[in-house]
Amino acid sequence: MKAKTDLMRMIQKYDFALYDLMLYLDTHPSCKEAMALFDKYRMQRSAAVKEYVERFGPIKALQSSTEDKWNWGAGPYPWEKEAN
Amino acid sequence: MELHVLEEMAMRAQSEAEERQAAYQPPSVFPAVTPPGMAYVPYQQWGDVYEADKGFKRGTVFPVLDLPFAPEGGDCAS
Repeated sequence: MKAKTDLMRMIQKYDFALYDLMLYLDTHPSCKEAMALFDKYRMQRSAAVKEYVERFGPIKALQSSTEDKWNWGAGPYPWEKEAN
Repeated sequence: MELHVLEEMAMRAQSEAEERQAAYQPPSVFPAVTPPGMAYVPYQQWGDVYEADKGFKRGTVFPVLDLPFAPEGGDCAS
């Protein structure tokens, strides 16, 4: 079981790699290799986010629960140390 | 002057010009038709990529774009 900060760091790394690949794909829209790698990271990222949200709560308001309590505000704010 | 002599001279001049052009043309990543005197950025080709972990530290997942101004350092904390 990954610690909270390790999981967050992993998500950040995937986000970064995905963003870099997005920039590349914008100018190379038919590059098969880039798309394959993008898919791989996209899947790994969503798995990591899913786990993070389940264990530590929402990262974005979009992931806030609506069952009993709107818990988006409960976690540390994005600019706080604990959130990074 | 005979027509064929003129033609030969013209052809020789043409091939000399091409040789000079070929000799002058440095091996480059620019396409064959690259007008001189204009700025041109070589187009990025797909190649090796860093793992997400390393790419995060280096600020790019593309080694070809990993061109730090400061020789080393500036590496973000893991």
